[in-house]
Amino acid sequence: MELALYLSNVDDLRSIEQGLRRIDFWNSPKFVFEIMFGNDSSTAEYFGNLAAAEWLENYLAAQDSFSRLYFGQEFCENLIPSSDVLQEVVAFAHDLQLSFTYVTGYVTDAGLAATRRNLALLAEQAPGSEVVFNDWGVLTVLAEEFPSLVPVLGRLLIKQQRMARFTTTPPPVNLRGINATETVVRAGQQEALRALNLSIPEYRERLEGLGVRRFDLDIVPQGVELPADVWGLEASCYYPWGYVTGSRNCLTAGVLEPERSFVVTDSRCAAPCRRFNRATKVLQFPQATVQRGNSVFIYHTDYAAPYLLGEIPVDRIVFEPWIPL
Amino acid sequence: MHLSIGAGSFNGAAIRHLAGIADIRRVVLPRKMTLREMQMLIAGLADLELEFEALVIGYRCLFNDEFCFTRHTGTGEPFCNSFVPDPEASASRRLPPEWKDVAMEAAHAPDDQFLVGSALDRFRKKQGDPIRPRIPATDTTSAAVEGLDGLLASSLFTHCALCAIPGLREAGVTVLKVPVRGTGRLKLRNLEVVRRVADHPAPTREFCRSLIGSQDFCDKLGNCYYASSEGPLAVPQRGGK
Repeated sequence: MELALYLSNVDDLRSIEQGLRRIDFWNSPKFVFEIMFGNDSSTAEYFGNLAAAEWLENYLAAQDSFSRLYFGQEFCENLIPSSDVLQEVVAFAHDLQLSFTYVTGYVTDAGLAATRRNLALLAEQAPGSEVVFNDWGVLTVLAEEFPSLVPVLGRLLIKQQRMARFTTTPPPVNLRGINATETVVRAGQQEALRALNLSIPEYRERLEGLGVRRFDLDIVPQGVELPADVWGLEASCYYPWGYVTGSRNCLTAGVLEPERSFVVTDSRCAAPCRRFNRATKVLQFPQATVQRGNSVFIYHTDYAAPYLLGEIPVDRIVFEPWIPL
Repeated sequence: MHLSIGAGSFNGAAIRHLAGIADIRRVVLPRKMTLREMQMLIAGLADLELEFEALVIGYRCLFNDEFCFTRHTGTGEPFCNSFVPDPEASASRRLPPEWKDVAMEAAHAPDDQFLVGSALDRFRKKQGDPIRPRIPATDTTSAAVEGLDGLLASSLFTHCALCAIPGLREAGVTVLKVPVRGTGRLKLRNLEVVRRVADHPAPTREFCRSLIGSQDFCDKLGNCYYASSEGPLAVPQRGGK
């Protein structure tokens, strides 16, 4: 199993030893937690970091260390790294002999121009690097203009349900007129949610024709139906943070420009998400989510085991010490 | 074939890619775009014979249609209904990179933390108070506003882009989508106001607001489909991106 480190902010890279450091903090007096984290639900990211660091330490005791660095921005085009930052990160990966994967998101025409600029730099300085695409326009640019870069299908283009209704507290099943037991019906519901768009041969053929050989998955409670040979492709999974939903309007940006909480604007975003957390109340929902910037994430629990232990045929774990935003 | 909003086509290259696969005649634009972004996208596809459609009234989810992986269900609460943004909610400063040092120091000497200059004392002083958003003050008491109460208007229209219709037209949008729900009377009212603006040769913001008939609704943050600056024939200049 290959292990990749995923960061979206160069500041996290500069303080990576702190980010990956495990501390034994859980037995501290309650007031220490209250003072440090308050009652802001978004601080769950820090608890997630502590748990992830513990998982990593245990994992590295038995497995090889990182061999690849993922870097970039999937969720907000206002956070696309500058060329200078990308250059710094590529050099860092080169110095540590890490393979490199540049991560891109869904973009407007302006965002595509910024992405194209970075792809040109990458093709020049690190040909052979992977590029995760989450936008068909980015894949087109990759295929037509940067054949030396290797496209990877991103998790946003894999439309599997992340918080499906049948995977937590299941709703009642109405069996009237159905000649099956409730157990059989529930199993069928789960099975339906384990399929991927990639199970369609024509879709895979089209992707392969554009140079795609790998796809990245979000871990989901219901699991995923993959054949042992993964249709001749390779699969990765992100751990421990899964993307659930998001938007181009942004509650955190709204702290400086209130309208941005609800709509997209043309003004330049000051990226307050890099300095602040702003959480939203989530009422009556069974799973605990964490909001960062314009997106909502979930910390994977024990349902991640089949992915991490190789029962589901993924061959790369993309480790996220922080929510990648 | 019409390209659904679910295709998430935020740029011209994405639409060109999909138009190369299928005989696409119409593109439904994502709701989370500015008029300026739509204009750039449409102008860049002038060589293709495409119609562009935009949503202008009715429910506009806070999240992107294209990249939301939650499920709507009749047997449980959808995530978006449970997600309640508060425009006045404060933001807290993210923890500094050395927060684990602070945590460990506090864990090792908890009793000392109540002394001036302790790790937690220094940490708290550095973090500061939560940041309050800059919400413009408005008088929304019923006596101060004209027309229908805002909450009632919200039940009727949910979200609205009447003022943006001239800008959408200038951007190259030729089809308006009215995704209304509810009783026939509610649907009809939504269709009527959109039709009035679409048929008007030069609808002003005041005209559009008069059709909604609720100053409270029109002034309230979060009721517009697109940025409020994007009024009639006022496609804004792009900021310094």
